[in-house]
Amino acid sequence: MEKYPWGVQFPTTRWDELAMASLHGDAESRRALDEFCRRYWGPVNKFIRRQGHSETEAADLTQEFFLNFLEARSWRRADPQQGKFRTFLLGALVHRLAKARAHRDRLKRGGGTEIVGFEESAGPRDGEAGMPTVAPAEAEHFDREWALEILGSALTEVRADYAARDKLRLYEALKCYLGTQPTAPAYESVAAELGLALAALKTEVFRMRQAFRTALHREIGRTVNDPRQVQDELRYLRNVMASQLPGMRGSDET
Amino acid sequence: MPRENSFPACTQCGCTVSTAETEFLCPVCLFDGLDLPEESDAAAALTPTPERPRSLLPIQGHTVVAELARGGMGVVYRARQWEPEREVALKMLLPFSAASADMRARFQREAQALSALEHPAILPIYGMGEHDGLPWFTMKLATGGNLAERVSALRGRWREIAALVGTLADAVQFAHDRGVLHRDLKPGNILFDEAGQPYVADFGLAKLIHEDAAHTQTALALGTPTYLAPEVAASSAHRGTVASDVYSLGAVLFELLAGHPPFQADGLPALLARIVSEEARFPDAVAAAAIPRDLRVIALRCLAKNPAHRYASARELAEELRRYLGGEPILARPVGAGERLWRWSRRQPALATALAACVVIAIAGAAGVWRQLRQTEAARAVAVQKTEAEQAQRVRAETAQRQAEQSERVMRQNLYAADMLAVQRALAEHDLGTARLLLETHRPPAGQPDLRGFEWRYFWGRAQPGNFLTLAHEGHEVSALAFSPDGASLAYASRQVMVHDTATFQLQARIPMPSTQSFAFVPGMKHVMFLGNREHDVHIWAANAPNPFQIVRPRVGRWPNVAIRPAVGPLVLAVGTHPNFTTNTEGRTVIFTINHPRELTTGGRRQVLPDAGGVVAFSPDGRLLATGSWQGKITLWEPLTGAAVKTLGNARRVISLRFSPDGRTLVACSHDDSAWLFDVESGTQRPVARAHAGRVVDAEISPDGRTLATGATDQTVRLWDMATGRETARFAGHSYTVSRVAWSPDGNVLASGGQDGTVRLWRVDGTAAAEEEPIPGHSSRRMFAPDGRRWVVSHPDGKTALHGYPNLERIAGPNELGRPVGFGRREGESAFFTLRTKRDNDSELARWASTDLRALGATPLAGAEMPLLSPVLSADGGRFAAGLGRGEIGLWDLSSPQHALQRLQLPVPQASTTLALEFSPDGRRLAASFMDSTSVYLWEIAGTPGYRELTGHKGFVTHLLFTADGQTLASADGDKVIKLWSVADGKETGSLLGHRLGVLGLDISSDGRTVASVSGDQTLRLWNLATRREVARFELPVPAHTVAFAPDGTGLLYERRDSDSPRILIHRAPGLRATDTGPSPSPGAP
Repeated sequence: MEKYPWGVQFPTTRWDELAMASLHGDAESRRALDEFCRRYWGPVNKFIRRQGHSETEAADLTQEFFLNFLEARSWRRADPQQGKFRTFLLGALVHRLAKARAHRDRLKRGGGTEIVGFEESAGPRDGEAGMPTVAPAEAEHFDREWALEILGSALTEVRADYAARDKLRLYEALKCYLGTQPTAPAYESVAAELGLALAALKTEVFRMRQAFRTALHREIGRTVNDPRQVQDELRYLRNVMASQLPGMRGSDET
Repeated sequence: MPRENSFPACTQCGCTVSTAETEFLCPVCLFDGLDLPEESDAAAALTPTPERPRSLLPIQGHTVVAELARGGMGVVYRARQWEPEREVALKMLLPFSAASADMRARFQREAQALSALEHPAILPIYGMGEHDGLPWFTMKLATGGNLAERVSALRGRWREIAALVGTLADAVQFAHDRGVLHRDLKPGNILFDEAGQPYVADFGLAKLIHEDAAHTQTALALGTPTYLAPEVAASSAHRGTVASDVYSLGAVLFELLAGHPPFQADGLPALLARIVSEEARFPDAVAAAAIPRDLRVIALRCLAKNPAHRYASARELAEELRRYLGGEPILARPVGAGERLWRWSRRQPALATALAACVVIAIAGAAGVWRQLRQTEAARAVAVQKTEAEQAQRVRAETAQRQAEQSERVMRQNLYAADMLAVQRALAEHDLGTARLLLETHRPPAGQPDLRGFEWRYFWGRAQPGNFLTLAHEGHEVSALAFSPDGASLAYASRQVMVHDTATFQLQARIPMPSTQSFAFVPGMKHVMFLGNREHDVHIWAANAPNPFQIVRPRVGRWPNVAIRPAVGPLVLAVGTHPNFTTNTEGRTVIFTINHPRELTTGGRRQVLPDAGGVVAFSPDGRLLATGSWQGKITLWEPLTGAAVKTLGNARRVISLRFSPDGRTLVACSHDDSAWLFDVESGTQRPVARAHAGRVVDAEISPDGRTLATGATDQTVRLWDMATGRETARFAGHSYTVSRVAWSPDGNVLASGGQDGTVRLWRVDGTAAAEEEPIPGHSSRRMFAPDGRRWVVSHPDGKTALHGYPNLERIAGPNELGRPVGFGRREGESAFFTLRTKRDNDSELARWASTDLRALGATPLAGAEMPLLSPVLSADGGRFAAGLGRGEIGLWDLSSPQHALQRLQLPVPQASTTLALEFSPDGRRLAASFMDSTSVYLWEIAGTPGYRELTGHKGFVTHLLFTADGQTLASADGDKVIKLWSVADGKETGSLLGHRLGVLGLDISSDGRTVASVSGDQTLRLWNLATRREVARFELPVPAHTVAFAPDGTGLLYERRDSDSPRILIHRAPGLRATDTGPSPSPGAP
């Protein structure tokens, strides 16, 4: 574990994945990198597009953000004890976009009497993670995309698990019971369709819910620093999702 | 990623963000599914889910659950905050009270100040924001009711009362220490939580809300003034003081003791009279006897009419209450020896009993002879004791005085810092009136230290109005304003009607008619006008007549509004009258058709226009008369016949009507947030001038028909392009509502009259002065010559030029001089120094005349291998220092013949690059910082070199700077923190916190009061050194890289790199002499 002047230490969460991700590393680290970018591409790209960039511009900026983020190893500047990965990534993104606007080398001092030029890094500084300089509404959009990403990952995990056990049909039939949607068909009809007893069906639903809950907790657990924060983060993501009720949505939401 | 748009909304929560990512399951429901019961009997899942709290309002980050209370000005909700999750009270201004931008800004300012008050007995503010333009803030949800509900329950529990008021006084003192006054302390503002802990709530806010309630300026607007200090109740201009908060605490204490407030009366005027004139006392002698005398004395001392007779601070009150609780004598009243003894005996019962026994025995055993002596001795003892008590009292009073002075000073400093931020916000809203008012409060009273820094002078300069001339007469509201048709005169009605000639703006005539409501020039007759006044009469004034001023038509109607048909032919005078609200009658319009003004007295044709209202305007060709009514009806009439032509669409409450010069458009103001344009032909209407932050009061179209000028309650005059509707100019300067605007007939000058009693004249042709052109190149604080009259700019190509200051003109260069180091003295002459590399790769320090950059010579720097890092010269030019790499600093003694090099080696671990070097002003110390170290090294270089390591930064230290007195060292790191150190002992004395990214430039003004910093967070901030508080913030489009005060304090320069080329920009501030001798005459005034 490396020790930096500002005392950064890395816990065993998503930060680990980052530590491993390297552009110049072996197959394992490239896989980690690929995983990292794939996972957060959506939220980051959506966010950049909301800032008014065209689709191609946004794709470039997203690419550049990830490259720079990893190349400059700016995540090292974050204090994982201080903030959630979500807020840190957003902070870094906002920072990067501001930098892009300032023609990339704005933090470099040139000429004059002093030659200081050490702020070449891309990330926000120690403690920055918790306070990205971004309008709350923008941050919430990012957080909504993030919530979708997290939900999606958890669902994918459950689906993969069912598929591995050759129970994909069961998954497809029961996933509508994961939420609280009252539009889900009555248990009886689904039981009949699957050829299961009602009690057995209920047990299956219960199991799937448990699997989903576990997967979701694990996903969120990787983005926070303390297991005690998982519930808070869950609630936050739920609320931020729910705040997008009709009439509250951004005008450019598609 | 593909997003399915047409997926139906979730029936449960209405969410429509169902997407491929979540396999088209509703994300909110997925989250909520987690909370379903865990039993395997999933039948429970089919039972209806518990009601999900729906937010009443979409407030960022909160679920608004229920409305708790609603008052005239605001509404309080119970809400759930998401992160961290907790129940909060959310207070929001109602649309009515939030109407003015000023009000909103003040609300936010106050809430921000309050959010800094973290005290166990102050209701904490959690967050704030705006919803649909309505500001809100959240605070702790206090569920235990307020003190008003507990008055009777507390009755007679004296110690509990004393402890409670003591706690409140502590909380109030805490706020006072931070420059925040409460201004409306009363039982209703003291809240309790479930556990019964008291909290002082609504600091400053309650009053703020009431103040704006009716735009009234009397204490009546505050509702019940029961708890207000007499000086505040008597004058709303009195914004409250420490003493008035102490009074209010006393009033609360009084009520808790007596069961009723100090003053009661039927009706507000009677109550006010009692508060202002009567001494507070406990009326019912019998009941009062049950109340401990000390508590009564304490309460009455707080309630003293003269603020100087009250406790000097809330802290003193709290301490008195603690003395009472501890059984010690209170200071409020000298206590006799006997009482002192009795009190002491209560504290030391056993000892007192023993001593008392001794005294009794002694007295009993004494002979008569001794009795006399003993009595004398006793008397002397009492006298001595009394003197001692008085002495102690005096000492205590002096200490208290000193403490009060100290606390007063701290408070003034804090208030100063807080007010400067408020000034900046006011300026951003063009509220120059508020800005000037706040600035004026910080001119130092005689004998008081001056706290003002660069920011004060800078803001003062910005708060000066932009008009070229101001006319004013006794400060009365300007109720009418017009140029004469030939443009030669400008008349305005204030206390009297003043007529100025427009060539010189000299006063031509003064019409002694008070309360003039309106006037109209008679076309074709110079200096003849009709006037309507509040006496219901129409007057005529003819300057050249033997009797220039007379009533021509008495009792026409309320506050006559006069207009004259501007065309040849018979003279038509339209007189509109004001509606009468007591009888609920609409204003009306009467037209008089006459051949000569004098005829109006004797007769002429008089015709009443039915149902017209009382606002009148003639079209320029005289063919139409427009009238507008309070109910919003606009009617066009044929003026010669009095026949109604048509009715135009609806406006609200018409207060101003004007035709465009071509007569095709009618502009109406209706005390709305826009003006309305009516097409006379088609009758269509459209809003214009919608960007005012207040209501539009008057509007007029320019003579060329292209521009609309508006005046509004937001104190600004604005110009709008008639074709595009876009705002083209904004004039700020009035300190209250702008009530009248008028174009000069040539369209070059716009006059505006306001409730502030001034008429301001604005040039429309050239509009505002252009911003100063930035200068390409770099500069820094070392590039200023010590006399401040010259400075050096390095061009991007490496050449160096000398410029003048303050005019920035180029004096010499640009030349190839080498790498700039800074100014210093050499052989008694000020010179500019640069570093040059010689052919043999050695370096030399070249000198250039500070008057014209002529070469003066060079000093070889022996032993210096390039590169030399962070080169720096001592102020006297005697020493030169630069980083040599590897944690080593080279120090050259330029005064010695050999220019000896001394190497200062620091135990910095790695090969370390010097980041910053700075000599102390006396040249005896050198501060240094390095890459790979977060410490500052402070070298003593006068005698045997030795250093002190200053630790505390978390990032590398990039900037070092001494104050001019050499006592304080400022250091900034690449993190975002600026630290201050005492040079004498190396102790950290404070931090300037606020930047969000690394500091890129730093300077301290030469008066030592203000620190300027620029950061990667794209801000330039000014800090008050005494309080360590931010006093100004400028958001920049890109980060600035250096910042420097001009030595005379009249400018702040910073370097920006827009599109890669560095440019230097300047913020100017007038010198103190200019600001303290009143506004300088504006350039261009005729």
